[in-house]
Amino acid sequence: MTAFEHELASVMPRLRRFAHGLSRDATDADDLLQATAERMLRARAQWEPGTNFVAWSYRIMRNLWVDTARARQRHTSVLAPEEEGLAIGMSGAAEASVELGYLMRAMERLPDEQREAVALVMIEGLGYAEAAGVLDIPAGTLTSRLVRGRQALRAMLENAS
Amino acid sequence: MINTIDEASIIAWIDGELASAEADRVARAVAGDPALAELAEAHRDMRARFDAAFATLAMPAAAEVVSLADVRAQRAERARRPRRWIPAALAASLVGGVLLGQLVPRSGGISDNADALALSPALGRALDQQLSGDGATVRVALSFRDRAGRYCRSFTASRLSGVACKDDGLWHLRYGEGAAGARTDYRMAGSEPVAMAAVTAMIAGEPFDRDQEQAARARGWR
Repeated sequence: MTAFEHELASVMPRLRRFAHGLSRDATDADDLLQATAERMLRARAQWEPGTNFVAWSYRIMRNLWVDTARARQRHTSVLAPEEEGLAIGMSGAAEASVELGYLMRAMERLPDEQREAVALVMIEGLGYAEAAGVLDIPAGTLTSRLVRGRQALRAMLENAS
Repeated sequence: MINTIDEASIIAWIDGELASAEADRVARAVAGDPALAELAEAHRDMRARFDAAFATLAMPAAAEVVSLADVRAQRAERARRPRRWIPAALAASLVGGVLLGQLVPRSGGISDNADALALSPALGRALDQQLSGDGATVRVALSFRDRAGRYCRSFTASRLSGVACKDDGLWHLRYGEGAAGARTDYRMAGSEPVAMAAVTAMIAGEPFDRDQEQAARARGWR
C-alpha cells in the first residue's frame, strides 16, 4: 500500500463522520463520502507528502458539499412536511441512529456557513485555527459562525425536549 | 460579572481554546454564577451529545466488498433514478468498494471470481480452521453471527485486520483496516476498539464460546 493509500484509508472514518455532520441524511452522507474518496484518488498527485492530509481531505469534502449546495436547497424546498419531522429509523435501525438522525436534522436547519463550522469543531474536534484554515476564513469569522450555530442548536434541542 | 463573560467565551472555554489566564477567569466566573454555570453545562452536554451520536460513524463502514466496476455501474444506474430510492446500506457498500480496493494487499486477496474481492486462500483457511486465540500468523479473536445469520469472525493478519463473514461458502471482508508492513505486536483483533465497534454494530446475540465455535467449525461455518 502506498503512503497515499494508507493516509486515505486512515482518514475515511473521520470523513464519514464529517459527511454526516454536513448532510441531511445518511444516504446523502454516503454519497458525499464516496464522491470525496473518488475526488481524492483522482487528485492524489496534488497532495504533497508531509503536509496535513486530514486538513486536505476535509477541504475536498467541504468543497464538494458547497458545490452541491444549490441542488440541495432545491431538494429541501420540495420535501414533504412529514419528512422534516423526527422520523423513526427504518427497520433494524438502532436507537443510536435515531438520535443521530435527530441531531443531523437539527444541524440541517443551520445556515451552511454555521453548519460547517460546527461540524468541524464540535463534531470533528478541530481547533479553531485548524478549522478556520480548512474553511479558509479568518479565526474571528470562524468563531462567530461557530457561536451562532451552537446557540441556535441549543435553542432547538431545548425547545424539543 | 455576567457582562464580562459572554456565551462565546463559555463555548471557547469548553472547547479548550482559551489561554490559561483567560480560562481561569471564565472558570471563576462560572463557579460564582449559577446562570453561567447552567449555560456552560448546557453547552458541555450538547457537545457530549453530538460526540456520542457521531462517534459510531468514525469507524469504517461495515460494508460488503464490491468491485470498482460494480461501483461505477451502480453509480451510473443510480444517476438515472430518484436519489432516495437507493437504500443507505447500498450507499455504504459503495464506499466499501473504494476503500477495500485500496486496503487489500496486492499479493493474494484475489478470489476465483474476477469481479469480487474475497480474502486470500490462506486467510480463508485460517478462518475456517482456527479457534479464537490460537497463535498463528492469522489470529482470530471473536466468532459470532451477524443479524442476517451469517457466521462472522474478527481477525488480525500481517497486513490486514478486520471482520469477515462467510457467505456462499466464501469468507468476505465486511470491515477491514490495512496494516502498513509487518506488525511485530499482534494484538487480538477483537480487542482493537475500532474492530470492536464494527463487531458491535454487526453482532446478533453474544460472541461464541469455545463449544459453539467448535460446533460451527464442524459445520464449515454454514
